[in-house]
Amino acid sequence: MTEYIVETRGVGKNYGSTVALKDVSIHIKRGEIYGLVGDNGAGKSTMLKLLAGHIYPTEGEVALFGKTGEKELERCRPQIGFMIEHPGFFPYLSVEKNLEYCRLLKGVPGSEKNEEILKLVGLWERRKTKCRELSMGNKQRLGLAVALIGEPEVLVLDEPINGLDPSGIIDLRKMLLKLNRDKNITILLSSHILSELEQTATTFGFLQKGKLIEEIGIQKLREKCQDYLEITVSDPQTYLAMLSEVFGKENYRVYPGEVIRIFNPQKSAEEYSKLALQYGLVVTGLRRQQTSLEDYYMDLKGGNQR
Amino acid sequence: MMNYIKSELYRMFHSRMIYVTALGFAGAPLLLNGLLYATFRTMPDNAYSYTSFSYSFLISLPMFFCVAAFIVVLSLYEGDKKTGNMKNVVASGISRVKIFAGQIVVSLVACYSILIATLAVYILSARLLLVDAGPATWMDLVKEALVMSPIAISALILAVVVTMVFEKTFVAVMVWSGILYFIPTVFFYVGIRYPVIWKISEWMPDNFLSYIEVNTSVCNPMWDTPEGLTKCMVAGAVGIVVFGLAGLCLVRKRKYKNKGLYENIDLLSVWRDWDGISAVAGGSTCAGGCGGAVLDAETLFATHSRPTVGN
Repeated sequence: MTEYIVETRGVGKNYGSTVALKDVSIHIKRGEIYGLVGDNGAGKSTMLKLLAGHIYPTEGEVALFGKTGEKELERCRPQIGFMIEHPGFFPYLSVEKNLEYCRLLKGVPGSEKNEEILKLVGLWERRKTKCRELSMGNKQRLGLAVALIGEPEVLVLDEPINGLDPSGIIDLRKMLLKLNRDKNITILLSSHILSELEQTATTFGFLQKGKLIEEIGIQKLREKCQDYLEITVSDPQTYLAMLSEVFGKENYRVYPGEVIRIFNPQKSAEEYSKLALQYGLVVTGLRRQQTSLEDYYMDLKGGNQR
Repeated sequence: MMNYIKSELYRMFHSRMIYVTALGFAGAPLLLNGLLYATFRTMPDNAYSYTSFSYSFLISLPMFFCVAAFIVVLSLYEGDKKTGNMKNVVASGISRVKIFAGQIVVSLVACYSILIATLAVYILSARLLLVDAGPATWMDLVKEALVMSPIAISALILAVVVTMVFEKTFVAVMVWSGILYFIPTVFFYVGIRYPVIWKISEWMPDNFLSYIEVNTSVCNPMWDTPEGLTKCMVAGAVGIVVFGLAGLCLVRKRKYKNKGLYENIDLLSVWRDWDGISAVAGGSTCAGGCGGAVLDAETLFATHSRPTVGN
């Protein structure tokens, strides 16, 4: 039986009459980078808050390191570093004092840890700055520092790239991959920026309107993300008629701008191009592609049906 | 819980809040004694220039110890809801009950530190600036502080409960005041008509502490009698138990909202603050004129090194 390091079993959460989560079961194995994908309001933060213990589930249960029950979860949480939504700090204390507060809170021995972590997240130069004077990106960095203190086995990060500049995003991505690779830290990331998750996560959980619509590993996702040929022709209607007549049944979809996507094309790109030329159509674009996570997600949601 | 207490004490002693509050409390009697000295220094035989007159201010207002405890708790914890720091504490695996207990311990440390500093300044400045005479002595002041401790601690516990339970400071203040002042007043007036209610109202601190006979010629605080002392101790002990149990029940399932540093402006916070790619995946060309860096999904999948995890 696979042992999950973080798991939810049929978890539901209602806020009054509003259903934030319904029967959600996520499964995260040790060493994974799990990307929780969903639109705003899909329930990502609610799910993470449940894991952090900020709120309690209306139904179902949370299991951390295989343990359930509030007392057990409280014992397990020090091994997890959380950064949920806006990191909470004391605005009147400096960066290093806020981190020292968190170090004492987690009972981590040795204040030299602070220096190591502040250097890791790139805040060492700003250690004397009061938190209220930090930019949003630096607050995110400090939130990450707080999550990292105590050498957690799991990192739970909610929208960690919020407020980060492009180089900050790249640094964060590199750091997360390094932590995962070198220290085997399991990471749960939530984001609505799919391109970012696509570069980091090894497993994806897709949430929509409080329901987990799919949980899929990167390998399966790659298999499912179909190849397609994108061809732009002067007269798509004529081209599609010829396509069916000459090549038989093809799976295609027409996009604005006279763009046709042929999924899992049976022939080579050259043959599709030749077909257009045979009937006097002008081909202005031709490329072979793979469905991105974004496309895949849109398909799952039902907004991009083929 | 010890970790939480340690971290809170660290925060307390590394922010200006505790020092500003202590300065406020200790500065008031210093100002009072200074004013008395400045006004009556040319009239040495005037009762108003006696230390007794200065001490009588606090002796006649024993409920001030409760208010002081509430002010200290508010200054320590009111901002927690705003800063969102509680999220870190809960996510560290500290239960709400332990947070509640830890806040009580830290508040007590803060209150007694401030109390000791305030009494020291009060007594020393009075003795230095005023004529040491009159019915009320510094011992009465110290005795009052000790006798009022159980009641003040129960008020402090209630203060921690209301600050933890209620989102809005105004509501917390109203509930706290309502329980300690409004309800006793209602019981007092209703008790005039109903003897049973009257008996209950007599055990409410705000009612029985109203009868303190302290003036320039006499100092007879009610705790100088065995009956009065018993009332103070029993009322305090009952308050500690009742408010403590209420707190345990109310904080157990407390939710913590995600508020960050960004929506934090209120008067108390301002006072305390003295110290204070859009990467478009999917194409190597972008026919639609999209902005941002264009990343090819195929390239991303192919070139990015990921740890392989079986699914």
